[in-house]
Amino acid sequence: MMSFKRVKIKVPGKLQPTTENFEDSWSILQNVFDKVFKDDTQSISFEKTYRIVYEIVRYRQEAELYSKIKQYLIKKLETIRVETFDRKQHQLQDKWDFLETLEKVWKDTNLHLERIRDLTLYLERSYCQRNRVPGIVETGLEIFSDCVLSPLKDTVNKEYSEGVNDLRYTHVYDNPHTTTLEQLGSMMLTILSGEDSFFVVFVQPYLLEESTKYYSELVRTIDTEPMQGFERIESLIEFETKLDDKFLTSDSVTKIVKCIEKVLIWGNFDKIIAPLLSESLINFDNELLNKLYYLTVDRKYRLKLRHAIQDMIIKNLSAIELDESEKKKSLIGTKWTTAIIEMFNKYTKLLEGFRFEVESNTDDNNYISDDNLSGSQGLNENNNHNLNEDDSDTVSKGVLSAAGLLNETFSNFFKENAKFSSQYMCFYLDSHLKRTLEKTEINNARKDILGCVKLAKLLPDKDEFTVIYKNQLSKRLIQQRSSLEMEKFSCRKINEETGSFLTHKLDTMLRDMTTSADLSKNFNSAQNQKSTETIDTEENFNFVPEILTMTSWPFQNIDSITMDDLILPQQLETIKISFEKFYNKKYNERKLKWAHTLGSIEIGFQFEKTYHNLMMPFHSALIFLLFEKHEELTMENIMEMTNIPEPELNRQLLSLIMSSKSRILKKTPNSKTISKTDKFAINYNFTSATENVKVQTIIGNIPSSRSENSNQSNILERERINTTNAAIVRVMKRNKTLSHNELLEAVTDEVKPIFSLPTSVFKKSLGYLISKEYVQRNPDDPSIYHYIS
Amino acid sequence: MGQNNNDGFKVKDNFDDLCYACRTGDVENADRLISMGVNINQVDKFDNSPLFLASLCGHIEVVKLLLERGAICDRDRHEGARCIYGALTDAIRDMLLSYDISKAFDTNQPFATHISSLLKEDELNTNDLLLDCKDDVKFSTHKFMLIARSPVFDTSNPNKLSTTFKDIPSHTLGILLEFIYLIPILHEIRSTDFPDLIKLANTFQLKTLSEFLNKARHMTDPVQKSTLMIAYQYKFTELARNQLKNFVKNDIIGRHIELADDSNILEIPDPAKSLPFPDIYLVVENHTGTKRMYPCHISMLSRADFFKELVKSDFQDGRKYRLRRSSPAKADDVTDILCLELPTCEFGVAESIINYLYYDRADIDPNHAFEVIRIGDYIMASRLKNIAAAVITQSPDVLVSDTIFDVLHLAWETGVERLEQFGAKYIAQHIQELSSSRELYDVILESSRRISSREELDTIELVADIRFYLLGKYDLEPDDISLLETDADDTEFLQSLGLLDYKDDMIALNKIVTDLGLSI
Repeated sequence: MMSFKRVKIKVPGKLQPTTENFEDSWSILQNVFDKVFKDDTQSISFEKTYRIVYEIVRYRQEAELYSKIKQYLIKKLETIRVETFDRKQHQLQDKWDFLETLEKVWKDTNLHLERIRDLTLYLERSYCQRNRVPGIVETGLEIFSDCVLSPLKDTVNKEYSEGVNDLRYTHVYDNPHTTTLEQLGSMMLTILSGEDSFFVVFVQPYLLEESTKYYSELVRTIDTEPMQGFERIESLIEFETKLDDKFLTSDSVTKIVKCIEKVLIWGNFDKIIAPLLSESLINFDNELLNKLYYLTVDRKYRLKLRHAIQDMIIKNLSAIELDESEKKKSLIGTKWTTAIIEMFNKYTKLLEGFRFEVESNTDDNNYISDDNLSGSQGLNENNNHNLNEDDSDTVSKGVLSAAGLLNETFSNFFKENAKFSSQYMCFYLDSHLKRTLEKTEINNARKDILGCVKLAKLLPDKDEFTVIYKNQLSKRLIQQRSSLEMEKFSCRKINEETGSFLTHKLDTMLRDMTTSADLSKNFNSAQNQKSTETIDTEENFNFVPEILTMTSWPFQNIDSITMDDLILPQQLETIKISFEKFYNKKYNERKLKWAHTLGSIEIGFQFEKTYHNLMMPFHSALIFLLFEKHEELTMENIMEMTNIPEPELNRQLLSLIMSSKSRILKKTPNSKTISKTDKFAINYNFTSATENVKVQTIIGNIPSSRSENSNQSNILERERINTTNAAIVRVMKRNKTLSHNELLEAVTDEVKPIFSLPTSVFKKSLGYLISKEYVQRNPDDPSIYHYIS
Repeated sequence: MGQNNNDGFKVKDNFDDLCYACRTGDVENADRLISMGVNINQVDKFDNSPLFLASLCGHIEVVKLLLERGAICDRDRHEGARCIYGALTDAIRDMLLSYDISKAFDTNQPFATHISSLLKEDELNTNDLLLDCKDDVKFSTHKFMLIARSPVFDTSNPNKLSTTFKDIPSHTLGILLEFIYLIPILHEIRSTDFPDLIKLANTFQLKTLSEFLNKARHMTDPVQKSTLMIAYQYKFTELARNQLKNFVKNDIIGRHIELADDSNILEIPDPAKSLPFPDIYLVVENHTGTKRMYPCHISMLSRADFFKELVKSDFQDGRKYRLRRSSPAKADDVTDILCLELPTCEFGVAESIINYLYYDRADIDPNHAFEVIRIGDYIMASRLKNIAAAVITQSPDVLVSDTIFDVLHLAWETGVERLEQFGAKYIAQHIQELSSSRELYDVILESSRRISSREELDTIELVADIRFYLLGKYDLEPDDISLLETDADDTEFLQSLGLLDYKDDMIALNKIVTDLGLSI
């Protein structure tokens, strides 16, 4: 059973019979709303208020009610503004008073509007929703914007920016003021002004301007010591980002940070960034460079940095001195190239992992005007730039890897130093390849060659490089100064880096060497068979034939080096004849020409004190061999017995008696000139520290090296003209008719991978083609050419 | 599928109505009928399920409603497969697939969802009973709910309730409470829970639960198990509905208090100690001036936005409610209990509303439907309004032609579109009889004044609606109208199409509009 305990309860009397008189109901409601604004919710009855609204709507006076509420809110908010701000304005002392008051008003208004909305919920649900009229809160916010915020616009702007500056000044981003700013920020974002929010329309531009001003001031106080200044900038940007993150939308944060970065970075570029940059490059300080480069994502900044880096590298490269103290050009070149390669490797390491901006056309304009930009003056202009920049930011641009940047830079550098860079690089390769006879050097050489070939690809005139390289290669091959394997390796690498059209002939040369080796092996074995049968084996020597394809080798005048009328010693003559037989048997159609001067002979000889292997040029050897049977010979005798032309013989003899390191003959009388009757004999006193002695021919009167150079440039020009001919024909065939300039441009482009086209070559080539009637000048306008098919 | 409703014949009727609503796409009616407890997973004499009919006829809103209320679309079963293949549009098919039983398990009545939320997220903090259990966990519950759902609780001493469960582990009690609060937990019960749960269910005489547990205990086939769960989830909901129905009948409506005319202070049982442990009194005055007070629960009334906002708000009423909760009722100080008065209406209306709010009862007495809509509007219960509107439109016999204008006014006042359409349709059907009625003139005039609130500025909505229903009245398509001109001579043909009658009706309508000086 249940036990009932009776309690007394007050039953509400019948609800106020809501009057049909709208005015009465309204005055009740107004009273209620007043209480809401006084935060006196305790004495408001939700039920009763709701009922009054309900009855008003039932009596179809909802539209009046709605507009009454609107008017009420307008009056109320106007009053609030006047009482809180207009009247008190002079009393607001502290910086934050205004902002904090505004924040409070905003908070309160929101709360009050929501409460009024709750109380008039029936109106909201019926009238507003069914008639698509903005609800009470929405209307109220609009009124708030019109009656409070807009009239205070300028003050809000000023105070808000000052508030931000205050935070910057005190350097704290985590205090109640930040919350105030955040609240106000969200308020201004909520409230619309036309298309966009109040914040975006009014406050943001002003804030940007003020921020720029603030930091422009600050820039002046920044340390002039670069490193400290940089750290300051870094921390300022970091602080600003953190601060802004606290109370702004990410969009605004980006805008402001961009703005102040501009001031901080561009304002201090020469003072801070540039010195640090050069410091980092000089010291190869990867960390510092990283910090500098990634200080901001600003594109223009990075572009500028990129240019600075490139300039700096070129400057450093140019600073590499040609060591004139070295006598030999090849040594100077080798040293220089070594330094360049070292530099390249260092920069490669320094810039590893960087991604550089690529310039586009629009950048150029911005770039120029940026240089003029100083402080706040260019602000408006600046904003426009921002827009442009934003646009271009969205378009995906290429990025340049560090390797790409270096290639570009070095290529430019070589272009500036086109006079010698090809040559010096060849010297470098030459000297390193010559080291490869030593097995232990091979690995190092391989590395050096690789490093150099990588740079060779950046040379503007690769054909020049190839010509010089070829020349040196031929010498190395014939004199067997390097490891054939390494030569092949080097050739292959050059091929890979520069393209096969340049290295075709190099390949043939190398192939010649390989076939020669085979032939020699076959010949020797054939020879050995014979020797066991007939010839006594006492005459024990090695014959190494080298068969060269005439067209592939860089020898200009075949006749000058092939002299058939030399009188050879018996053994050599025998070998020569049997090899000719052997070769003709194998290659019936081929004609064998002997180029003795390219060869050399190695002779072992016991001098009085020491035994030496003498490496001798062919002619010298012929002379030396004569003394096998004669103690003493006059020059005339020698000439008769060898048939060496007089000037050459003169040169050879001079070398043999004069050379400091290999004086193996002596002359009587002992003078520096040679007359035909002077007598020569072996210098038995000769001795040397090493067992192997290289007998060198003195260059003598003939200025052969210069002629060699001019030879090279002749070859080069001939080849270039050929290439240009082909290019012109190709271009004209495509276009049929072109103006001079168009043609020049197209052809320059066409031959660019091989060399940069000098006008002289272009003119010669064009003249040649016109004379050959490939191309015709327009009779009316000589600057226009036609292709004749 | 068995029916566990005692009143089998009536439910059968309702099921046919539901099938009809599904064919015609009548969402409100379908909702109303489902709320009356029709089992939506049965089939008609042609073996069609409501879901199949709605899918076939392309009524996506009805399909959605059915699925939300627990209609089963199981692809692995004949019925479900048929629905998917029969779906008229891709949108319907996709919806069916998204509710595929093998993926989702969602069978909820709106009132069941609400009850579940009381346990899970009691937003208004309406609980009035803390349950202790073995491992020191406390559950916030509602006295009335436990009492309504289990016959064994000792109602004479509510304070003892809180310690009834102190020997039961929290996990098991949690499941039991979830069951009581209609949270679908069947698929979450672990096999290790079974023994304890069965014991507990027996103790509290939750027969249906123990029945299920005993059956499911030894079942391994997942398809079979899921079928069982669906069937029982439905049973549970219906069981809860019946229990709440009885509770409302006996302990809320049955315990109403008659208020004498002149006395404001009266003796009532202590709400904290006696059934139904109310936390709000609903005061109703009928048209003859008699007042009654119904002891109710905010937890259930808050299904209507009015009560929810009232309790939530920071005004006098909300504070009063919270104050009473925060200072546990001293015996003498209960006079501060909330007491709300509804706008004047018949007691039956108020009771219909209470029935709806507590267990979704939708079979509203057609005679009360008008006032239910009005009060539903006041307490901001839009679904109730729609259900009541469906009742009105379903029982045209209560309408005599002169109430149709009241229907229209009510529709406008309370924003029930269904009634607007209904009114326009009725007028279209009876245009000739009404053509001279003053009231028809008035409503058209009134509708024209409502223009300002509409988007299309130059149409009178009511007139446009009537025209639309006039086409329907004679089964015409808009294109057929041109025949009136092209075949003007062939009267026989026009007559056979009904076009002549249509023309007469249009003339009558246009005359009214012209008489009123309105442009068409």
